[in-house]
Amino acid sequence: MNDAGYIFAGYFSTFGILAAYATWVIRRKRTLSRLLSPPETR
Amino acid sequence: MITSTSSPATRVLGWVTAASLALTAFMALVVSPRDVNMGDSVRLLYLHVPTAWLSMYVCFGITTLASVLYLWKRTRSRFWDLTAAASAEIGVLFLGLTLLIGAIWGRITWGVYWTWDARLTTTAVLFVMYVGYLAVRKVPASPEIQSRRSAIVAIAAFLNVPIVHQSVEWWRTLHQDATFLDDRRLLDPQIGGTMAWTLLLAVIAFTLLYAWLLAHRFRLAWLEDRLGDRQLQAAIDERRAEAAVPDQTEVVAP
Repeated sequence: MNDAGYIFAGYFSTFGILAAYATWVIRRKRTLSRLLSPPETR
Repeated sequence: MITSTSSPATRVLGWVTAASLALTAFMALVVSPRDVNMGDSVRLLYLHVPTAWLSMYVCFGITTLASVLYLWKRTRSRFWDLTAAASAEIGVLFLGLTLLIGAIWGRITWGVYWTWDARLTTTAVLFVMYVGYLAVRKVPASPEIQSRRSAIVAIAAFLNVPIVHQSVEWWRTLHQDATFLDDRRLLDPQIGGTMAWTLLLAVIAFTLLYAWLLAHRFRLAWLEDRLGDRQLQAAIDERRAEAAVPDQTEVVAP
C-alpha cells in the first residue's frame, strides 16, 4: 500500500478521536446519574 | 453503584455500530481496490465522505429543524433545544474529522495539507460557525433567552450549508465535484463495484454511530439540565434561608 503512513494516521486519528469523545460522553453521563436521584433523571 | 446508563436499545445499537465500523475499516483497508487515479489515498475517502455528509446534511440539518421547532411557540420544548445542541456538537466533531482527513488526503494528492480553495474555505467557515454556536450556548443568560438566542444562531449558521454544497459549481476549485448528491450524477454515479459498496457501508456505519452518539449526548444534556435546575433551586433555598434568619450582628454605637 502506497502512502500507508498517511492512511493509517487518518484511520487511527479518526477512530481515536471518536472513541475518546464517546468515552467522555458515557463517563460524564454516569457521573451525573450518580449525582442525581432517580426521579430527577426522568 | 450505577454500572450502565444505557437502555437495551442503545446497547444493541452500540454493538451493531461497533461491528459495522470494524467491517468498514476492513473493507476500506483490505478489500477495496486502489483507485486508478487516486491510488491508495481513495481509502481515506471512506472516512471523509460519510463524516462530511453526516455533519453538514444530517447533524446540522437536525440542529436547524430542532431549532425551528423550538422557536415555534406551538412546539416549543426543552427537548428540541437539547436535541439541537447534542446534534450540533456531534456535527462539529464529524466536520472536524472531515477537515482532518481531507487535509491528509490533500497532502498525498495535492502535496499540501491546506489550500484556500472554495470548498475547503467554506467548509472551514462552517466549522467555525458551529463552534461559535456551541460557544453561544455557554454565554450566561436565563434558559429561555439562551435557548432562543442559540436557535437563531443555528438557523443562521445553516445558511452556509448550501454555499458549501454549491461551492464546487460556483467557483473553480481543486476539490472534485459531487459523486452522488448532484442532479446529473444521481443516476450515473462516478463510482461502482466494491468501492461503491464500501462507501455505502461506511455511510451506514457512520449514520448508526451518529444515532448512538445522539442518544447518549442528548441524555447527557438532559442530565446536565436537571443538575443545573437542582443547583439553581438549592441557591434560591439558601438565599431564602438567609433572609429568614434575623440579623445577628451587633451594632456598636459610636
